Amino acid sequence: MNTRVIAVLGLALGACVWIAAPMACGPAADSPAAEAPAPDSQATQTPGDAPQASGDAFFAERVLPILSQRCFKCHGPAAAKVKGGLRMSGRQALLAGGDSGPAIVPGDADASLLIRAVRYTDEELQMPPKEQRLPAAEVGVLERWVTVGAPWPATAPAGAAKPAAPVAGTVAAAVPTADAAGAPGGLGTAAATPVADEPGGAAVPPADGDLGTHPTHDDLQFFEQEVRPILADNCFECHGPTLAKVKGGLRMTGRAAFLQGGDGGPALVPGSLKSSRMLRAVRYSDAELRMPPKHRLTEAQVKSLERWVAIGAPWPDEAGAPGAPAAPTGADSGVRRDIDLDAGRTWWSFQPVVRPTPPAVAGAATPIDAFILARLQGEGLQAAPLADRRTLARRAYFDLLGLPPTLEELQAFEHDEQPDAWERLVDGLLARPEYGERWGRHWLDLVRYAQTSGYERDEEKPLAWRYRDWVIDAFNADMPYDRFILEQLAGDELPDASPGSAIATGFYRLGVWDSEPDDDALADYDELDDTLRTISEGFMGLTVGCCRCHDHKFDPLPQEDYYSLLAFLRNVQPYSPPKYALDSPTLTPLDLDWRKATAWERGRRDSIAALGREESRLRELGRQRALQKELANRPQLAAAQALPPEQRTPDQQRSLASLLEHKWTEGEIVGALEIEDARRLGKVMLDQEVVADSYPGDLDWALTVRELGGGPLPTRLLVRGKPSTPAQEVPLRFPRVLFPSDEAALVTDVTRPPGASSSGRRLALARWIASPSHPLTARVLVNRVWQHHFGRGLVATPNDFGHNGEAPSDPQLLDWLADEFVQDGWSIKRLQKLVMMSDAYRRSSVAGDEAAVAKDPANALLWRQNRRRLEAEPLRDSVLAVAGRLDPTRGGPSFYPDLEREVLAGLSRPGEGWGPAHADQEDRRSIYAYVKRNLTDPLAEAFDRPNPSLPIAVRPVTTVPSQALVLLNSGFMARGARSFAARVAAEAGDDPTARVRRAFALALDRSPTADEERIALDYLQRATADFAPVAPVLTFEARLPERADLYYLAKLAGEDVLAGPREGWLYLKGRWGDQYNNTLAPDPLEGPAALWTQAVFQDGELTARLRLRGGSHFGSVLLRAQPQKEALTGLEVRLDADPPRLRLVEHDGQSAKVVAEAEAAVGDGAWHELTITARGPAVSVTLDGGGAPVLVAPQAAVTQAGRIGLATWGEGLELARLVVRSGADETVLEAPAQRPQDRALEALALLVLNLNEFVYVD
Amino acid sequence: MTPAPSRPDDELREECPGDRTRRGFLRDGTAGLTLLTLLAQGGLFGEAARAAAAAAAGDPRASDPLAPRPQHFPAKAKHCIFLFMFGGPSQMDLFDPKPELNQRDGQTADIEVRRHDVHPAVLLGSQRSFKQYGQTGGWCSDAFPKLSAHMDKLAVIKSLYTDSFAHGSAVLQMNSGQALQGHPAMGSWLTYALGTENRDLPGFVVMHDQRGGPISGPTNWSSGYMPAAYQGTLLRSTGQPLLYLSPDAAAGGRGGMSRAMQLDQIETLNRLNAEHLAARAGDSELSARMASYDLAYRMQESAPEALDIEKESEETRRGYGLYEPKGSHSLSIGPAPFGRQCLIARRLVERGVRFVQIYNGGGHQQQTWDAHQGVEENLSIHCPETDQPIAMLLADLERTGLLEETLVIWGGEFGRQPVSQEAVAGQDKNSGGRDHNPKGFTMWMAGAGIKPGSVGETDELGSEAVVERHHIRDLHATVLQLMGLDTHKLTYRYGGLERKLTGVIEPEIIKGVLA
Repeated sequence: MNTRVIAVLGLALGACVWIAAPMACGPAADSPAAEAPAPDSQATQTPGDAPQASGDAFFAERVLPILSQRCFKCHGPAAAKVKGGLRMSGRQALLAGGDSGPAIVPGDADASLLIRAVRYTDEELQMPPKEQRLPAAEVGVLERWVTVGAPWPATAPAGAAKPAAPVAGTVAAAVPTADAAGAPGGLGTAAATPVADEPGGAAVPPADGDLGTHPTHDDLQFFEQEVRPILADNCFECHGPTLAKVKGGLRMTGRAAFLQGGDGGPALVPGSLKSSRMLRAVRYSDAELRMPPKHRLTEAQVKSLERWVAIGAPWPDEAGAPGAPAAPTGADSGVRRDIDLDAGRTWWSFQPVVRPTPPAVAGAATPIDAFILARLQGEGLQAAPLADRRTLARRAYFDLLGLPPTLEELQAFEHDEQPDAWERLVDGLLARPEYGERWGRHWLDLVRYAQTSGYERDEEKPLAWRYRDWVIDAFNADMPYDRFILEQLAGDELPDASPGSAIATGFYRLGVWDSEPDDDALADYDELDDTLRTISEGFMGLTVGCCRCHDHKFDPLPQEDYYSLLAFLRNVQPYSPPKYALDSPTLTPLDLDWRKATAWERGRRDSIAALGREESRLRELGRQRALQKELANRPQLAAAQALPPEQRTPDQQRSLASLLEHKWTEGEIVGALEIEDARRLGKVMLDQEVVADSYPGDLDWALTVRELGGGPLPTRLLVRGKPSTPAQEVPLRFPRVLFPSDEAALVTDVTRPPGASSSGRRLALARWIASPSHPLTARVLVNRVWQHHFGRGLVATPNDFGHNGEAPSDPQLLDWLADEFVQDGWSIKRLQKLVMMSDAYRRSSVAGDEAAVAKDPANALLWRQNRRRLEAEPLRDSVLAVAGRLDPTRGGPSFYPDLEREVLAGLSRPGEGWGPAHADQEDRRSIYAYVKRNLTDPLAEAFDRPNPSLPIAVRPVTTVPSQALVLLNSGFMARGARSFAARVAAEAGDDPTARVRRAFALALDRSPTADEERIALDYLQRATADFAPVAPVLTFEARLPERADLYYLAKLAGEDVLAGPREGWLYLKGRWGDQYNNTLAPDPLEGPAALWTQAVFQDGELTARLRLRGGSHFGSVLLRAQPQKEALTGLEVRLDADPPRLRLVEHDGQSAKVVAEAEAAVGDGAWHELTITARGPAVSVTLDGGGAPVLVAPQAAVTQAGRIGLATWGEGLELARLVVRSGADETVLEAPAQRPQDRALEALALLVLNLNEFVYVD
Repeated sequence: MTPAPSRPDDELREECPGDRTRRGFLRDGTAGLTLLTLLAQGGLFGEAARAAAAAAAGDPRASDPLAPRPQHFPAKAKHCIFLFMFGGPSQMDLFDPKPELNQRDGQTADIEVRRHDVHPAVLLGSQRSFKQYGQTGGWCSDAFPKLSAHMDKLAVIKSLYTDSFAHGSAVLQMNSGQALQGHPAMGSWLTYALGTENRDLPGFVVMHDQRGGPISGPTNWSSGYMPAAYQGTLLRSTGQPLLYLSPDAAAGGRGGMSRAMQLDQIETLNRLNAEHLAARAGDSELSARMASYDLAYRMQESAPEALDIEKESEETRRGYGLYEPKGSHSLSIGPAPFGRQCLIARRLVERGVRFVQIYNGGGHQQQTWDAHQGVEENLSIHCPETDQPIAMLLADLERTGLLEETLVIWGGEFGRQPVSQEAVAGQDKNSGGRDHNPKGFTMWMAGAGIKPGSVGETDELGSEAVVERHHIRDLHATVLQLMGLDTHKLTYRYGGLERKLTGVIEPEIIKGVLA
């Protein structure tokens, strides 16, 4: 379970302690460490290994261009003379370094001269010199490169024949082969590289000079005797020199052909056992590249080929002569050549929007109605009548706000006699802040918004919520849609960039991200692909993602166009773990001025330094204690030490001196510390690493896009979508089919925005997408708006306007809306008003017209409005609103919905990355709930909220029993129903009829019909009777699974661990231990407990009537209890379920021990009566009133007075009544009685919240 | 009207304190089960209206996503139990003996231990001893003393490979066919394809290890871009089996709400819903939602009933290892928890559940089959936990005849390396751990439609599949085949593409395991 190397190195120091002292990493409440990814001890087992964080592509595409552009002028591998003795011909050369010593220390950026030089932190050493300082991003690239071990593959993936970067020709030509072939006249260290790059390979010294091009007789003989037969027998069938057609573009005509290679790039790199594709293929080490495909070569054959490559791949006759015939590349690369772009250009959605004239139709209230009525008349269909005002108001409220109108609001509208009542209602709703919360959520589905990365660790993406708030604000401010696009795609590149537009670029950071990818290069492309799909589907309704690996199967999109579009994003820095740093790839300070930045840097250093001092102090303490311990074990030495120095014998002096000089090991130091101090040491060590990356200071940070800097990277077509098989470089070009000609699609005028480190390409892309002439952008958006007002878009596949999507049900209307939208300044609110003012929107949803039902059952022609189920968020928000507890607090960090332990238990570290539910946050609107990819709120999930891993344009609407269960029996609904009932009771009094009427009015904005009223009243009566004999009970149950993540646990309070009555109770978390892999389990004897604060008890008698629920582990009555931190002192009478027995446990605050136990059938889920008599040290327990005590303890240790309490774990404990007799006093604890009619009202309230009418909008 | 067999009215009367003689909406013959049946047949409000509503929702399954549907072609397997050995079990210590590896124990070899990272490492021979069993002569090590008696029931595939060296993506790929997050699990595909026979229980059930879920958690049984109706439902094997099942536990934490009272609540709800529906005749979504409450009510009975293993004989329970002690290792939980889950799995498929997935191993490292820190130690934890329960599951399925129609799959997300992860030559072998290995590993199938025996080979070290190599997509295609499904026909439109469980690369059915 290695993690991405950056994270590992960042935590390596802390992680060492982890191994040395597993207990040394205690909970880290309220510190940045609490948020940090947990160090995985796996990751630290091989700290010395050069990690494979980045493949060859990283070097070739990011590092090499920097080196060649910035350094090679003076240190080039081919330079006639180099400065400072440093020739950058390869990794060995950098390790050997120049006059100042080694240029790099792999894995340690800080210690590397090269990095120190480019950082410009050292006045003596600044490179490149003369203020040609590298941009921060380039420094970052070099740091990352050194940090991951400074891998320098023998060639860039594009190969010798195709330099990876557009650098000066002489330099570029020299670089890729320099290390492999040994730079001509180069360094001895470099010459050792070719065979050194893969230990265990053929140990053949490289030939002199230009490796392989001047083969010796022996070499050629070797080739003829050993290599050619292998090739002929195993390869020529598909790659033979004389074949008419070869596979994969590789024709084995000679050395040059191998160098040029096929679709996958060069087949070999002379001298490099590691970078030669052919060797990878025959070794069968790469699942995707295995040759020969049907059988594997023998080990000896592989060795022969390795040797051949190692000596430079000699081949007689042509001997690698330049210009030797080679197979044409791309001939077989999978690029389909039969896409007819001209034919493709005729597809409807690629045509410019031409505003149609609305047909002249009598009775059409708006142009929208003209289009719809014309078609209805054509089909001989009658439109449904307009809906009544109540229906209309509820529809408008749910559509625009996602909340129901209050009764007062509804009545005001119903009684509004003005002709513009509807218009004013719509205007009023569009102006309300809840509007953005409703419509922002639609957008978040499309951009797969979530606040974590997904995959194994599902790390938090900090500050993602700022993007969510930006979206809400943009909708509320009616930001023109073209601007909305520009800010998200290129908010940092805009001439009028602002903090807001920077936050908008958080768009690029929302996707999934695998912290431990199988293949780094592939992961980087996966990320780009994910972003590109989201852009193309979200803004353009174009499924460009389909042509990542091959030409699009349905749409006229050649594979090359995918990569041309990708080129606009190519320079975006890949996501990396969040780091608060001025050059962070993901986080940017919004209000940066240098004074603040300096203060920030100082604050960060101070924090680290303070932690460092604490670490030193603890280490010194550990050393002192270790010394004392050692002395305690060696009394003679201790005696010697007690003597004045002058009285010690020489032996004693030597022994003492040696002891004082002893280098205590990590284990000895940590082992000598008290457990708390050992934990603290682990934590401060970890925190130093964490603070270095996570110190926000008082800068205002946001999650944003950043580019790599430097010239834009070249983008190549990847054969079959694989980074390992790059082909030709593609031009910067928009999809050709959207332009009259291929040339017109080319983008040539991209300029770098002044002062920016970005390429300007994203701005070019954004401007094109947001241009009024783009055929798709406006159509796609108006379709989305239509979709959310009618339940279905005019195009039923809103993310696919291509050949595989649905045809528009009314293309004229779609185009008219699109044109109107653009003409009206891209205003979404005005578009919505336009739609809502139409009769079409306002029609009844009742399918009352049999003829229409028969002819158009699916309502494709919109002869009526569609009835729609509320989505998860408006459903939850409506429950809160009706219950009178909706908290309108807007924006800011998210709240954590209260999740059941069953839900938490699904995670490998239950609770990891989740936070405690705070009562004062729980009633906020759903859009402010934390979105964690690997853990979702069951209510949201049951009601079809999409998985936030991929863009979702249409939420499914399913009907399954789990929805009924969540709406009937979840804690959220119980709370909601209780508040709703309380509100009804408060407003309607005791009269059942008044209660029923009020409940209907509040939830449904109407009075019940006579039938409904009778049904509800009958129910209330029955339920009241049903509840009458129900005795109230107090229930207690565990809220956590058997194990929980330790950082999560550290954030919880006692009542977050054990659920039960709150008022008058004090909750203890209990002790948690048994640490394994960042999880803890509750101590079976000292688990969580609840103490009743209303009574003190010392001597007397306790009687408790209680029962264990099925699945409960135990339930206990506590007496003489006093809290000691999270545990307690006191006595505990415990009913165990399995094996069933009764036990008496004593707690001394540190530990607990069982002092008496007896078998007893208490785990059967039945009610039991427990009587405990306690007088001084004598305690006895009888069960179910029966005669002799079951437990007797004559010598209980705890005799002083304390609280009475309860403890349980698992499914829980119910307590009916607890009576305490102390002398003449009697105190009774029981659940507050509730009148049966009030409980019946709660049941009715819940029922009303389950009504179809509540869940569906007419 | 005949009362539904699954609802013992008399019992309800007993447990309800109120008047139980009144006739409920669901029981008075006008609706309830009848309503459901009619809906399932598409008859209540006419096919046209139903089709309209479904079409309006964009998916033909929308208004009744779990209705049973026919296989593409006749096949024996109706159910599938996937025993997921999370973490990646070690093939060369369990089913794939490698004498040459043992001979070369302690020598070094070049091994790809992470993608493109080939370096020399110390070979670690197996300390298990292997024997051939039964007529098929299947190899099994002494780590599975009980399971080995059933080798003639197993089709062992020794030559699987997958794409990722990392758990996160590899587990996702084993479950969903894709190494990327966001795609539907195999159980989702099967319930999407076939629906579920028993509407009183979820169609796709997941049980995880009490030590924790697998990494990435619920994402592993997510329905991805499909409707949430197809996602796996977590079932707990003790206490309340399903979330929100009990009206009593949830009634504001105060108890007192019996099932009978909840029935009254549901009946009243649907009476009011019927009033609402009357004015909106023809909306089958509304009536489907009414029926879903009836289903939920019945689930409250059928789910705990499926879990009620007290109904099984003492002998059966003993057979599953329910009375076996925990192992001596501190991380061991003994065979009882997994045995209970296996027994419940049998009861679930007996009741028509389509896909049951049980994880052995949860949390991290030695809590799972992820044997970095010592393969012998790891086997000593997890083999005893699973050996007896799996052996009994196979025997019990055979005894009940369910093996004829149930496909059992065993395996993890990948296998393990032939080299020791940290040991150097000459060190104590007990400390030798094995790293991840996606390049060659073993899984097996048993039950409906399979041919006992073994398929494929790894190389002489067990390092990678070399003979009859099969990618995980081939395994998935084979499972679909066994379940009567054609991978080309089982598609779901998302993102402009007809998606398949097996992805875009053409899979090859593993013919050698088909009967």
